[in-house]
Amino acid sequence: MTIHLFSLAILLVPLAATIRLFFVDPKQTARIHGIAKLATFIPLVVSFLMWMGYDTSGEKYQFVTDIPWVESIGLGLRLGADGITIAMLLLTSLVMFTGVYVSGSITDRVKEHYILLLGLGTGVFGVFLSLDLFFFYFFYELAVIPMFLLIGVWGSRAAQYSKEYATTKLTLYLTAGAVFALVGLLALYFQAPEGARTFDIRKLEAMGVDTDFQRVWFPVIFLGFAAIIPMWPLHSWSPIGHAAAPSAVSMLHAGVLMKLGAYGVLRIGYGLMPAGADHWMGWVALLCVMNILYGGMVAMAQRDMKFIIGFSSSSHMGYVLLGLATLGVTGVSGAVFLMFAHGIMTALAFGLIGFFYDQTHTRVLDDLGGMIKQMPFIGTCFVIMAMASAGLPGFANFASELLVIVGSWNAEYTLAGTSITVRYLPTIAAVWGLVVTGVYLLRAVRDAWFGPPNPRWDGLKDAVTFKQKMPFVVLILVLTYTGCFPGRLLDTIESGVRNVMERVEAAGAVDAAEVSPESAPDDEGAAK
Amino acid sequence: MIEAMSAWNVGLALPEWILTATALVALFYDARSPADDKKESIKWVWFGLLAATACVVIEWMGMKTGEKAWAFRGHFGFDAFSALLKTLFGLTAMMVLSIADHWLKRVDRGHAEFHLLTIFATLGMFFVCSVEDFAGLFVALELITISFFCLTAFKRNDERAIEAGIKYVVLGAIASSFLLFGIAFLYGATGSLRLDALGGVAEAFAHGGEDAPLLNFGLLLVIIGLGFKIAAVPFQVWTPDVYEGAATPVTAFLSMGSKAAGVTLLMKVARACLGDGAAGLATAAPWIIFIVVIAAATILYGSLGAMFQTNIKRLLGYSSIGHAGYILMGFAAFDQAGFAAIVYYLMAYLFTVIAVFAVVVIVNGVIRSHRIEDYSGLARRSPLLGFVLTCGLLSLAGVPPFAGFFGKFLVFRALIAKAGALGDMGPDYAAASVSTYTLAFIGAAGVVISLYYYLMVVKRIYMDAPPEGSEEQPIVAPQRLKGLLYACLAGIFLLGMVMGPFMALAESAAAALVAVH
Repeated sequence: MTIHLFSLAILLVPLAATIRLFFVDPKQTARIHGIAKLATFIPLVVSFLMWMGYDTSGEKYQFVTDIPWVESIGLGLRLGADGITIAMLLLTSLVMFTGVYVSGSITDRVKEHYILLLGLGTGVFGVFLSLDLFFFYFFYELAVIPMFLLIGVWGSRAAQYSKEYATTKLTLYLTAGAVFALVGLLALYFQAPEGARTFDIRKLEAMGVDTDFQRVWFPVIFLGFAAIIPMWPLHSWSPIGHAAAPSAVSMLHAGVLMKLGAYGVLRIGYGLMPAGADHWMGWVALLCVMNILYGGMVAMAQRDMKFIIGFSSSSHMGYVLLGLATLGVTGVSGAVFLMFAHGIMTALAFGLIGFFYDQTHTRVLDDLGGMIKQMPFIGTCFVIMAMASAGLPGFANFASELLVIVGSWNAEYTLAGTSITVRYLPTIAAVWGLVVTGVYLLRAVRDAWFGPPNPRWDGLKDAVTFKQKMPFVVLILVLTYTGCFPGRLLDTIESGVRNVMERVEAAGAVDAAEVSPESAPDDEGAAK
Repeated sequence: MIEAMSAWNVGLALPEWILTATALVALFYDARSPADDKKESIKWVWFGLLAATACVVIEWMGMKTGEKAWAFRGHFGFDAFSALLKTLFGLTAMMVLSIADHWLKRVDRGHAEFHLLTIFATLGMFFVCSVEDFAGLFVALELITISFFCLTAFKRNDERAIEAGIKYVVLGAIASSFLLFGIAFLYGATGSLRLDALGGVAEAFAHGGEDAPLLNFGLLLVIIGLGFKIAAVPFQVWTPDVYEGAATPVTAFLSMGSKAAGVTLLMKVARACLGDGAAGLATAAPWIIFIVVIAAATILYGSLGAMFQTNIKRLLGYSSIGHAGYILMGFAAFDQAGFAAIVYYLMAYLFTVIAVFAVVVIVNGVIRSHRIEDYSGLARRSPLLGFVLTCGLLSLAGVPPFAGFFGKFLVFRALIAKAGALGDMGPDYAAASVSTYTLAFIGAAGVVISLYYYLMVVKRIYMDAPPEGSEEQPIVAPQRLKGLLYACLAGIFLLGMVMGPFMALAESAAAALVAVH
């Protein structure tokens, strides 16, 4: 049994706060807010300390906690972090912290709101930290169920869909994906010989998994997680869910929850089934083009702001999928960096939309217009967000999307089951996707913030107090800082990615040697 | 061991003696006391249940690991398996009676009868855990079934209760005759009524032989007969109607006690058919496929049927069918891991089901309705009840961190282990392996479907506004039931989060079941 205070604290602080909140008088809202702020601030500090303390050339998993739970079946509360985890922890704690500040406008059943929000946070932190297949699933479901209530109780109508419809659809998709993946996880557990069976990801990595098994089961696990990413055509729950959710939940959902799928693909799909990943990911490069272009096109047709950002999220997650499909260090690091950047950016977007929606009670572009006069601060932040999202240099999104595209240019996508190899095509589509992104974001900026002012909005109030401004300023600072100086964060991410990709590349080399002994994989060039 | 088996050793059945004696004393007091004062009789019932359960626990503590004691010349066994299940049954009866005590306040007569019938049914359940031959099995089962005939029709002025009672009687009688017929066949094949006599011929299930037709047909009929008790397809149709018609505490007792008794017997029969070690039934591909098909059909019937229910008791009836399917998934594994999973499932199911039905009884006492619509805004009218019902329903759905999740997880685990093992056993078992994997996916689909209809109730509780004019009417849980609710909540969370110690209990029970004596 080993215990590392950092990894345990990140998990236990939100959990303890959840339990504490049960015993607070619901009328003491100030106290409830205080607990929630503290419970999200501590993980922020701890994840920052973990980032600083992370040794990029050290052990693969650091800050390891390992507590035996049910020993007879090889189950343990195993937590730890590598470079990828660190980036995700930073993202989650930032979004949680700002999310709590943004949801100050909630007045109905405040106590329940924070209990669920912190429960959700516990689940998300747990997934990122888990080094155990069982707890990976456990924490994942723990994050999904509070979501159902958060959207259903505090959400709002999303175009023609009621919030109940939205939240039910979201919960069912997420659970279906997870349960589907669970069957795969159990198969993964049982492929080990009797006596050596364990849910410990580190041990499973060390033992290795039979190549044929990987090829059969990788699609099962991948599809389970793909519903969460969400990959086209499993994405339809996501924009509706975003649109119906209250601000803080949209922020967490688009910012963090969607990343759980991609993280699962990396940690379990790539980490434990490198040969399966090498075999199948060519197809994903094709499918993700649908995400990027189709998602972008649909976003262009939307008039509801949250739907625009919702579809744009599924478009951006297409880039993440493309980065993963490159199977090279550059592309995958870019994908992870983009997960971070996109998380911060959408959190900012949903926070801002939530801010004016609380006053206007509409998000439809046709009703808005000229709001920059009443809300110069929020409007400016929104423009900055749009620029970041469209991939303007200077923001983290640009740096990460560039890495994905560069990594993808040199990659060859072999379609398993056929003899077709695709090059360049997904990359070209991805670059075109950037143009589409620009179109719908600029249009949203123009229609909502500029143009003839609508007299209906004369009474709008801008963010004036420190409390109101702080979350947006923090998120923008993070976006620009990591965009201008990506070095430190990227090194951290790359050290984690390299550990994962070494094995995938080794599996690819074996595979290539089987097909044609002469051609050796050449991903190293891309990495430099 | 032969000596141990031939001894009478009547003291071993002390819990059963206590139950019998207190039931008779209570009966005596019931006959003597006036119709409006049955306190004395009820007191004896409570005393009997408490003493018997305590006695089981004490006997259990005094036992060495892996030990099995015999009584009545080997017709009555006691080991960790029977001890754990008897404790569960004792707890079930006490929890059901706490709910019933609250419910009976609305009924002006029959208080003592209700308690007496419950204690007789519990006595049957205790025997079920210890039977070692088919004669005992049948008698114990009938004791339970006949008590339930009366309990389901307890509200004798209510047409629906009468209807439920008749349905239960007719179908129960048919199921019993199937069971008896099957026992006759098995007796014909083995020449003995003892369960472990099946072990000697267990190979016939997998590899055929002279007696194979008799054995297979007999076992089929026995499974059908027991399938009625656990509400498995094709003997499930009675469930929603009887659940709806019967008084709610009876429904709770049916869905936990009666089902668990059927499951216990199925486990005992399945164990007997395994022979020594994991031979026999565990290697019979057609039987595995048969169980897989029944399990899949039961899961789908239960979860699809529940989607369109508007009455909470009917919903729970269909959901109970679905749970029978998940328990059968554990049977498809036919090994120790499968049995341990089932035992854990039952432990989790106890706290969950009792919590849900306790809330249903309390809410019904105020709103006088079982329509799901009328649960709208429950969380506003009573935060505690709303929370408990939500936890219970999510535990039924199998979502972490609630108890039901780990039970389902273990069942899936056992099933997939079996599927993998069958895959390694060569081409003869390919079909069995594929069907077992398929069942895992069907089970996964069932989880999602069932999550849908449970969430629809949760939506009512938290998202919808209370019905017009009832906002100001809080629903208050009575003090005595609050304790029960907190205990159930604790059980739901402990079994879902701190699985270690409970898993050890379930595993020791399963080990005792499969141990060779």
